[in-house]
Amino acid sequence: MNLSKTPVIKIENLTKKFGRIVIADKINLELHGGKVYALIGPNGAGKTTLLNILNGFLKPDEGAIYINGVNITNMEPYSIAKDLKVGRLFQDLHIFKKMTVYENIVCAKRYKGEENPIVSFFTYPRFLKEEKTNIGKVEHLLKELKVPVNKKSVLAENLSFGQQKLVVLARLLMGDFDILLLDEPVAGVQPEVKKIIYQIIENLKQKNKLIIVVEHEMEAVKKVADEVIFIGEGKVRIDKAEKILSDPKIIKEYIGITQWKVRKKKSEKESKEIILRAENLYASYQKLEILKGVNIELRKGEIVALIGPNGAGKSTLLKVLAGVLKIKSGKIWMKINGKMEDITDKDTRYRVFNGIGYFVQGGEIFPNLTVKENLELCLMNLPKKIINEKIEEVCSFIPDLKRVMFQKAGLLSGGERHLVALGMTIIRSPKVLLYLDEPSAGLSPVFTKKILEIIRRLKDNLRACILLVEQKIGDVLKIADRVYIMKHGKIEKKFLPWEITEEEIKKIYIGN
Amino acid sequence: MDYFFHIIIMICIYIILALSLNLLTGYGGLLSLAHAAFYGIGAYSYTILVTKGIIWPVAICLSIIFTSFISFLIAYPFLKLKGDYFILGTIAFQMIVFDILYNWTTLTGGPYGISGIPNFSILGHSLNSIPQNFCLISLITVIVIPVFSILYKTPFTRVLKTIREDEICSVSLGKATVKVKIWAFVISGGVAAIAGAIYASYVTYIDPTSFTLDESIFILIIVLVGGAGNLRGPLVGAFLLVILPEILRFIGLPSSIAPNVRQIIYGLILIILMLKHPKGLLGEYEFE
Repeated sequence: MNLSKTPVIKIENLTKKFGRIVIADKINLELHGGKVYALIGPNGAGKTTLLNILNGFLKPDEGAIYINGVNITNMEPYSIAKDLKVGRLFQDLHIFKKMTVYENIVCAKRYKGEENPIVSFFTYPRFLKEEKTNIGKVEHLLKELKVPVNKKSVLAENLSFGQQKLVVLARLLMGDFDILLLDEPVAGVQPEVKKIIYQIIENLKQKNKLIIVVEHEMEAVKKVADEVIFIGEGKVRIDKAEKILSDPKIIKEYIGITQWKVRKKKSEKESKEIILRAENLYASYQKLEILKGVNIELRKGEIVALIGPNGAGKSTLLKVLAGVLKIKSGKIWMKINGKMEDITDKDTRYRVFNGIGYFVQGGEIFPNLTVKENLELCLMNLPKKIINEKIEEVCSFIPDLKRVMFQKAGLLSGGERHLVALGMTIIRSPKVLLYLDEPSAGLSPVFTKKILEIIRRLKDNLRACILLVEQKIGDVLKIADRVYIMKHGKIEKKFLPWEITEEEIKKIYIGN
Repeated sequence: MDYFFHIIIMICIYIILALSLNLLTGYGGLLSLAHAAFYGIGAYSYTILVTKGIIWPVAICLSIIFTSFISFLIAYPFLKLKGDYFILGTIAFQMIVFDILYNWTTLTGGPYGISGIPNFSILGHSLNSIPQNFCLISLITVIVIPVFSILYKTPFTRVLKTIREDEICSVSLGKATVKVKIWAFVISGGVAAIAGAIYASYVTYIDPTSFTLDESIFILIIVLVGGAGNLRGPLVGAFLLVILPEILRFIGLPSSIAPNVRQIIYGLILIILMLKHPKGLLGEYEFE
């Protein structure tokens, strides 16, 4: 095909940084029409960022992007969508909730004068005529996507999650875009819906559209993608799916295994004392069911690693245990004052006061307060003397805090903020539990090491139980005592770290 | 009977104000507390023109253009403000306009206002009785309502709705959201000027106290109580909220406490309604 000779998207020397984190470092790519590209890479590698740059929502620090020969670097995002026909499917739907399904789909069409109320007003009769043909088109699309046609006048918020996803997809089809950026199009949907979505992607490919799909399920990648773009640590590689997915270097970077040898720990008096237990947890975000019957048990003085691919429900499980997210059904018990107490209906405050520390992904701090004030805030109900002692104690775990104690937290680097947030989590309740959600997310390897070291010392010195969520599992396995593997909202397996083989991990993350 | 016509005229004025604010607030999701400012700018610019001897239809048109232009000027900086800051910005604008009306005595008469504004006239015959005014004003309103009912259904308003729902997504579909929002501002301000002109010519006297923040809040409440995001809501809201104080007037409270009790009852009804019906009586869109 002569069309594939000139690239539709050409990325030249693209560089993008967030603070000290390099998302893209002089990337060069040429993408052609009539192909499906799967964009893969570890969490925080910059997949969504790359899509946002292509959409014009983010501007590159250096380099240029050409779409059909037009440099988009200085273009408005709406103009990129309108004039260069770049369509986007967002990871978190972005459906127009208070508009009907019909309106949701038809608004992707561009009417003459839709930006000017006066033109729009005087061309209203013509618009009414056009609407008739549009109704037919929308109905046709709904049929194609197997959404009941009679739902077209229902408000979009009343549809199930899967149907909402299909409506968003129908909107993209209605817009007749030439380049489609699909951010996890099948995340969280039923297998039937998945099938429909893949079929649509295939159809679009036949129509010579360029499709970029961010995807975590490697089975799906192999099925739909012509080529795979791997992004990691600022670099990209593009190749056939089989080649990328069998490259040991990439697998290592993706899963984070650098050295595969976990020494068997001589369990120093293996802890038996259960400190928190959860049974049959079900939880969902609005219509999307995330946890589907999770059982978990945490014991005193151990580090438990919770691993699994994106979207497995790891963060949700932590939220549920911390009481930030309400569960649909299930029970949670925690040991409080030597007795197991049912805390299912207790709020986060109660749980925190009784020893749960919840560390949020990304590390939330108060940017306008100094580090010391940030730490003090967590202990407001205690006398000054104890607060100072506690701060001393935290500093003994995280020596870096001493150096920045009187600086405004907002002025610190990402890694330092992370440490402050960690300090805030452990200052209150280091005795019992600590949940850590991706302590290494967005951090340089040096900081990741630091944090893992801190975690290890916390366990040794405080006999706390630490539940750790991490995507890069290599380092985590070194310090973990037990491992839970989550997939599709369930605990798939329980392991001791030295029992897992590389093959099994690969199977979970990449598939056969 | 004059009393009855007076009430209807006030309802008409508030219908025009509420319909125009509804475009911005109900469809665009932009909660503005500056609508009385545009109402005031319209009323004053009309009055100044008409007292200079310009015939009233021309004066109305010019005041619409002038008020739209002012909306256009402030729209761009305002739309840079997000969420609550946008609301604060509109309050600030409302205050500034009030202060200008209050202090620019050579132009606006300051706190004394401008009196002796001529009534509307038809073929040289001045409409100086209330029923005559009623006929013309209700006629104007009857024209304005269908115009808005069409405007609310145009693709323009549909784009405006997508901005209210999710602006990022709207942009990703290729909609020039900034332009659309500015237009919504301009139309909403311009139509408020019509209401201002009607008010000025009907009561023949204006002063700045008719165009305060309280008035802006009142107009917003009409939209919210009636229900934002459709045609019926503002109509019903204007009807109810103009009638309500009148009904309370007939309850026969001692005159010393009547106004205060009225305010309390009024507030209570609003609170209860907002708790039980956050979308308003007939609304489609609820502010979070």
